[in-house]
Amino acid sequence: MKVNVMSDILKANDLLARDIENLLIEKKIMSWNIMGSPGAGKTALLEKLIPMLPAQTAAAVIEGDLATSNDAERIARTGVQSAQINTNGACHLDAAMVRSAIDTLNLDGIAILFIENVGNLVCPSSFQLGEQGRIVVSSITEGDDKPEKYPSMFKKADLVLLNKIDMMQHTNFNMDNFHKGMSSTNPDASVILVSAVTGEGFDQLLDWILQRLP
Amino acid sequence: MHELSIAEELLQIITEKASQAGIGKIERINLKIGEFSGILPDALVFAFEMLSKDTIAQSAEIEIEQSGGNELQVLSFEGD
Repeated sequence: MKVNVMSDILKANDLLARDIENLLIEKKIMSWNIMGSPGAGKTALLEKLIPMLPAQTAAAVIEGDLATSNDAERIARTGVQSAQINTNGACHLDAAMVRSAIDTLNLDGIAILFIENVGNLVCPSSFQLGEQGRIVVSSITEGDDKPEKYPSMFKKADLVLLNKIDMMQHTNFNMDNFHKGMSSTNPDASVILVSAVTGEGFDQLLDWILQRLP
Repeated sequence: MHELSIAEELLQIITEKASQAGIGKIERINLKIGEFSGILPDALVFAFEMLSKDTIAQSAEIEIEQSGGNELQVLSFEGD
């Protein structure tokens, strides 16, 4: 006897993700799933960006790491709410983890929820978290060929931030190669060159984010 | 890369549907796995074989249709 199933294996995760998405839409909260390699600058990006947000655009952050609360503590020092998820070995966040973290936050008056995923260019791309969009943070020191080498990650990005632009002269990063890789992997993604250290590109990034508020 | 958690979800789906259909032994499972799903077919089969020991899906043959997108689907299964 043959039984047709025709469903996504991750449907349990997807259902939870959709619940989260509906909750955030109802509360008019814009949410971003931020992914990238360990050390690309995901947390530094938030530390730089959050103080630049207008007073009426309050943010909250969910941090995902295998271990430690280092990142949630860094975010807390910017004055916004942060919740730390420790996956204890899982290489990605999933919707169930995010839901537990959301339940510890007070979302009243929050306009933007940033979800900083586990540092990894492979696993996180497979898991819907209920986010409105995805930001992938790449960096000059990782080399210019990451979009082509990690297509499942870069294909799903709405925005790719190329961080550490202030380090260009110390590397042989080829900007043309990077843009070619982006064009062939994901021509629809926005790309912004930034430095979380010098602040370069952050005005552009801020505009990009604010334009997308519900 | 996390084929074990995917295999767990798959086993859950299959055993639930099998119980609904009154199937006591699963002979074959048909999956569709996309090139950009982030899942390696061999690793998934290996993980599933491990997890399905002593379940109704033990020794089930796993047939995988590979596709060009990011699908990760269970299409159908067969059993009695």
